[in-house]
Amino acid sequence: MAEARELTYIAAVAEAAKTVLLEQENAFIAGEDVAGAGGVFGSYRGILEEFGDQRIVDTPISEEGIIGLGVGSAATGLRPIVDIMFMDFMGECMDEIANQMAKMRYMFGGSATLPITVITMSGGGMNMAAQHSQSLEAWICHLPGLKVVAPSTPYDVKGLIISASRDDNPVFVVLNKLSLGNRGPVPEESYTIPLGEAEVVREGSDVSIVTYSRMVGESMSAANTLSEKGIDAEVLDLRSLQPMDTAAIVTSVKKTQRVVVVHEAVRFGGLGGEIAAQIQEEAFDYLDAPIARVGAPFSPVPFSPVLEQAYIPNADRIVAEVDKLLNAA
Amino acid sequence: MDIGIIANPASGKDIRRLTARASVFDNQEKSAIVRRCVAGIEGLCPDARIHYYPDSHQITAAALVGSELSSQPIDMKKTGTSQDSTEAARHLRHASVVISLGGDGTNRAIGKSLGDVPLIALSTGTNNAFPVFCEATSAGMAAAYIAMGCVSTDEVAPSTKALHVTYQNGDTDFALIDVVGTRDLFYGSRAILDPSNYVFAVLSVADPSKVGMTAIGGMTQVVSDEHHYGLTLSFPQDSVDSSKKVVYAAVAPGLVRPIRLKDVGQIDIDKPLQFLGATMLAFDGERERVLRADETVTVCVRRDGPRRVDVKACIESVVPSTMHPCVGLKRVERHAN
Amino acid sequence: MELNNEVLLDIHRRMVRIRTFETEAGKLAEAGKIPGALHLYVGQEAVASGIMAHLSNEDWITSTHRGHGHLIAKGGEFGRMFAELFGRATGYCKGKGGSMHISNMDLGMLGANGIVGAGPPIAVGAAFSIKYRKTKNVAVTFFGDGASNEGSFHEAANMAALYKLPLLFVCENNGYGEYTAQANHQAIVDVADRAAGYGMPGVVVDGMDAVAVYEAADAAIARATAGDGPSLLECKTYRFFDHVGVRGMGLTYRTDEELAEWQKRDPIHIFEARLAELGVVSKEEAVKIHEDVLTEVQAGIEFAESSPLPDPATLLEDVYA
Repeated sequence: MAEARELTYIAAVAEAAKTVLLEQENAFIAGEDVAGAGGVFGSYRGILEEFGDQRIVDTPISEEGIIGLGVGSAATGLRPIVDIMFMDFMGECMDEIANQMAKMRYMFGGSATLPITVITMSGGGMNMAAQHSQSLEAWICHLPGLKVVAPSTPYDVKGLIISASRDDNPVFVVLNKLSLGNRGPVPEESYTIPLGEAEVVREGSDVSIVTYSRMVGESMSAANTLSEKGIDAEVLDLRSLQPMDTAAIVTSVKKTQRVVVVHEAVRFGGLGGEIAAQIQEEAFDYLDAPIARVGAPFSPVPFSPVLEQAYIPNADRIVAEVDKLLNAA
Repeated sequence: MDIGIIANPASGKDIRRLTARASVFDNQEKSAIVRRCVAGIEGLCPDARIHYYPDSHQITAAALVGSELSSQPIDMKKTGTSQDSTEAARHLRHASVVISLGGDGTNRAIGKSLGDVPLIALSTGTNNAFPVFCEATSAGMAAAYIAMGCVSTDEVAPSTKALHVTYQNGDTDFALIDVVGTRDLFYGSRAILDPSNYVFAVLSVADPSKVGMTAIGGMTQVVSDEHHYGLTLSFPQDSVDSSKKVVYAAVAPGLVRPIRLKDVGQIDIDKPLQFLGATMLAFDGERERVLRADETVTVCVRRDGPRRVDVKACIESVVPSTMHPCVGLKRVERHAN
Repeated sequence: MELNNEVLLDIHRRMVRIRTFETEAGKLAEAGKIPGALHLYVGQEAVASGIMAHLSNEDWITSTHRGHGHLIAKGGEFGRMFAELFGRATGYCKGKGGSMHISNMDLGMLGANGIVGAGPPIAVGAAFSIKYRKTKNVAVTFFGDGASNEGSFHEAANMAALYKLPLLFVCENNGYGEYTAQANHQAIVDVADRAAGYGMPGVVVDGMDAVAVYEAADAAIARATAGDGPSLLECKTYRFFDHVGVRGMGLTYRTDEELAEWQKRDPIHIFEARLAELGVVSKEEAVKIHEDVLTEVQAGIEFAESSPLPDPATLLEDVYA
């Protein structure tokens, strides 16, 4: 069997976008710098040349307008993919996200359908400081009506974008900046990954690490380190944050009876708290230890590389948290 | 040395910006024009007193901020309609000169009551057959020269012609450039829009270089303010009538259309003529009076329109004497005191 | 579009429908029979009616918190509208939206909106959709003088002009952003002046004169469908009722004299006076039209009152498709 073809995380975005435009005649892409520049990180390279300016549209730097363009065009029958370059910029368009996109269908008694895909970028590690490095997925997971996915691999990027574009709801695809150059196998054909399904990326029996996005990689490194110490960690990649695969989390917890929830977002008010609450609701009796959480401290993302390194969760901190958990038991 | 200023906030905003290509005249720009007028006045005539129409947009009030000229708003009741310009002009009949900002409609409203006070009409309207295009600073300077008595207003501000309308019930009305009978039934957006609704027109001047009805008439025959007659036009009411003359004219800014004419004639000064067949009468481009279908109207051209100042002629007329104390040195002397 | 008798009657009927619905809704609200807040459209009927007389169900509109008038003018049925205001299962939104979110996608009405200024960006999307499909339709976004201070309006205006979208920005300038007079919320008097900054024409229209609105909309739609892009129509109007309800909170932010002055130019009265002069609708016929509409409104109220309340089991329906 031939080696599976590999693509970078960023190239998987472009391939997914092209696939969607080919498959759906009412799909188009709009966002800042997406057409002529091909995306600030090259996410949409080559699409203008291949599909023309009807299908990929440069917008002004007007996030509220961009989301409005998505909402209005989706409600009237198109299937927009809108790009919000960095999710930090959601502050500029939160009304159109929270009060329009998320609620329109419900407010209208189900008569409106909003098949919108919002592609955006999260995460630190590139020294882009407090306004270009945040992980704000908790904001949008809190809004009934939205779906949120956060792929960790090139394979998931392509599959989840295609799934998002086929879904009849607004779906946020939260990409991660520091993962853009990561390579991985990506099939050339079109494929989907069901929204709301987590994936066990490493089987283990001693502790469950529940995580998503770039922290999947850090968790895998942590698991390798732990394995050298004789600790067998299971790593669960949630992939989909809203809806969340609570059943998969519970299954893993029942198996290992210890759990660390890991995300890059600020710990307080982050999804880790929600996940911990769900675990104690569904599997309290199976727990042999308190639920541990690894997340960023309660501070804006700092600029200086030294400070930023101290800020962002990593494999060492996950290992330390697991150690603490196991020692406490 | 009383100088009046009437800036119409409503000019240059009607739907001819959609139906044609007329400029959008925002009120900040009008305020800037007034500011330049004021600078022109103040530079030559620091003793001038400004009396201004207190428009709801504060166009003139804002323009006067920072000026050391004596100024006061006209004490008048406002209606938010064109009557305000008429009322403001009535209060300015004592002034040496009045500056207006607007189009033909604005100056018509002013002309109803201004009497023989010289009028410097700056164009900020849609159809601008009456007002002039000129630099506002120069307009202000011209106003100063007139106020100081440095120029002969007989020479630089000759009377224009006007159109006087009498209705069957005895009511009267007034226009500067044109009276147009149409088949419109509603005032609607006021501007006259559809050439196929034209019935007749009476023009005081017919200038093919302008826009609107005056341009249509002007394409058949040029009639200026010097001529002792006006022009009458009638339009075919039957679209299959192909025997008629067609002229291509700018019916609105940015809109050149073929217009079919039935008859063209002259109307002598002070010789009233009767017209019939219209359901709406428009004055200087705007629908103003609903008519019964069987109602006749009488139109008469008279030489009693506003005395419009020729700004260029006015300033040029003082050039030989700019070193005279009356003009150039006056300002210097005042500062020396 | 010719202003024939059929069109005149159509505009008149739309205005009377709005006036009657809103007046009765106001009575019900003041009697405590309608839950929540009602923002009534009485006084502004000429705007919705003059515009909507041009539109079909394939033309999209976005509305405001004062949205009943827009939906009625777009063809909304009284029964389903009252049912929505009453929070009944038979309402246009199954009782999930209420007054501030009343909508009907089949009529091309993308919802009233509780967020001031939220509509224009959505209308940009609807207009984009029309352009994408290359049909000869238009989108219309209604908003107020207050909303013209929201960033969303400015982003939408810029984008619509940039893409030359078939979109009408219709500012219903009623002189107040909620309870704050225009002079205290913006340094300009004509919102139309803002259009030039985005590269589109802006015009001022007498919003109490349905024919003036109709003519302006005709011109703007002609531009839009010819590919010349958006226009801004600022309709100067006035709401005869309070910001909320009829007498509302009893705040003293405007005078009775000002209200009386505007009521002299009641858009329905001046239109009916002219229709009578022209012999299109006699005074007697006008009375009959009002009575017939009132009967229809009362039937709508009865339908709503006798309609079932939503089953709590439907609470979680329609969150997702």
